[in-house]
Amino acid sequence: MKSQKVRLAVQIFFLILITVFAVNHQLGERGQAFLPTNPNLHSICPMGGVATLYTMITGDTLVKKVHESSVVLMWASLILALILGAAFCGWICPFGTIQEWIGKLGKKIFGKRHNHFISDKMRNILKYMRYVVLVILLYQTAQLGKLAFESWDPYHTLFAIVSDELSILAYVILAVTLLASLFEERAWCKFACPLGAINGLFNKVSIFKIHRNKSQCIDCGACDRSCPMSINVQHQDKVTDSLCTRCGKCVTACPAKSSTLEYQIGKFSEVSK
Amino acid sequence: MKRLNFYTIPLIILLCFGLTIGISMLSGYWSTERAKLPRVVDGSYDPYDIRGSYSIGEVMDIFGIPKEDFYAALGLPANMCGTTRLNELEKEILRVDANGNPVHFGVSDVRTFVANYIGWTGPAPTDADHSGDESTTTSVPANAPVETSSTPDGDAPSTEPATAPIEENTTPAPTAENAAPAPATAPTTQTAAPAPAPTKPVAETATPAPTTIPAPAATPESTPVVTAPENTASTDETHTPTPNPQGQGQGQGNPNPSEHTETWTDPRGGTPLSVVYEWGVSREMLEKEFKIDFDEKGLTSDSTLKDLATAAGAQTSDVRNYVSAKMKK
Repeated sequence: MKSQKVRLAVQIFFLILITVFAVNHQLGERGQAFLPTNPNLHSICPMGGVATLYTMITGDTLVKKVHESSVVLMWASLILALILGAAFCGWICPFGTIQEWIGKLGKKIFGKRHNHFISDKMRNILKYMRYVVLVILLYQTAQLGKLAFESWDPYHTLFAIVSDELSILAYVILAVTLLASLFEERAWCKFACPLGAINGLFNKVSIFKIHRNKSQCIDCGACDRSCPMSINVQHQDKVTDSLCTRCGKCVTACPAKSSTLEYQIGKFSEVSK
Repeated sequence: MKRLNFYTIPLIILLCFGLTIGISMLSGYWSTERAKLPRVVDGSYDPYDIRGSYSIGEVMDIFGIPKEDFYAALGLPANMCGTTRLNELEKEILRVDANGNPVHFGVSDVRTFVANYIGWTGPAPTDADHSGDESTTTSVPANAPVETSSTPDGDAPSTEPATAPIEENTTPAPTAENAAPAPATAPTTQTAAPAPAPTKPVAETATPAPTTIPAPAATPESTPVVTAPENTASTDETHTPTPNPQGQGQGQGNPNPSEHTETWTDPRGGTPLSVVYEWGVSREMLEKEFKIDFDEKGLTSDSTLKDLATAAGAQTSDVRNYVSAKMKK
């Protein structure tokens, strides 16, 4: 459980960091910024870097409200993804953190039904919606020269909730997203997050992956039950599902010998059996 | 096989982000705010790349516009701080058009004013130039008169501006109607002399009621600037369009946007549909996109994009974005 406490500490750190920047930016709009710098939310989100790639390549400019910092953060998150997979989602993303906490509330309300309102089959289909969202966003952003998702991005809405630039649609989408997290853990991450879609691709190629030692596994299913992303860990040699956020809950939940489920490079060797 | 201790993950995160950000900072690439310089086109700064985040002073510095010209043309109080950002003005300053209807100050007003002032001959603005921080101005921009006002060299205007004579009135007015422009009785002027400085800066307006302050003397369509109440969150809510009961100001401004075809270079809320059609975005395209029947909704070619958005139950920005994407560049 200690590893989950470490993760929680990291999540809280980034949540506070982003909240401070968000509040500072809102106050900065009124000339009351308390930090020497006043970045907007898009400039401290890697997704801005992804969204502006087209205009960076075809022109020499960034889309509106996206700054060089977004591009840098995009590269940082891609390097992280190459090493750890989608750890950005499970350890850093403050919007994911908020959903996770709401999910805990949902678990108290619905008990075992929580996170099981959708069938596995349906979930496996719906997770590809993230890629549809990603393609649409990239296309629209390239067409418009501005962040196409700015007007409804729930991450932006959450941290700029008092902004007068937000539309009703933005609030509705945020409310639906957070409400959905009560029923399905990290609903936005699973079905709609374009950044998660990109990070998830790296789960297949990342240097470190979560491996299962078949010879030691007792097939108890604790890993499956603990996985917030509803991944079938128990029957895989390594977790490469694009939904995996590398939260490590499966590793923590494993009641078998400590080396049964590990975040590691390469397969379990005979020695480790 | 190398196991990864979960305690090392924060270190890896720190290393990835710390090193990447550190290197970008050392190389001078890291930036969380836009450099306050518009893009350069043919060796000159593009006025249509002015952003809402620019301050008044930055715009004047970048384009070398004297304060008196800039303030006068845009109807800004002379004691307004130069660090005021343009998008802040959108919330606090209104003009009143010829019919006494309040009109929002717009960043696009500044863009067009600067373009006219410096004699910009570069490319027409694109959607990317204007999307995001443009105003909701629905009437001809305040900068329109610039063509007849001062030049950077202080030359006399080419035409006589039909200057609106605005009486200086710092007395709190109970209603917006009282802020309507005075009759057009002031003498015309051939100089670009700025208007007298208003006695009250916007930010210092203490009364909730609008206060009339002088409009620029060098602007033929100039209209009074109305300060929004300090405690008002949205000017839209406070300053609902008010008819001018006395008909004051008739002839000073032109409330009919269709008569401003030449000024429309980009889709805005006040852009008439007739102009949009000329840009290659047909009525059929709009009807199909926004799923409405123009006849049924009473939309004509004189209707504006804002009217269309209202009729379709859509955001004006969505309509503008659509037109921008479809218009012939």
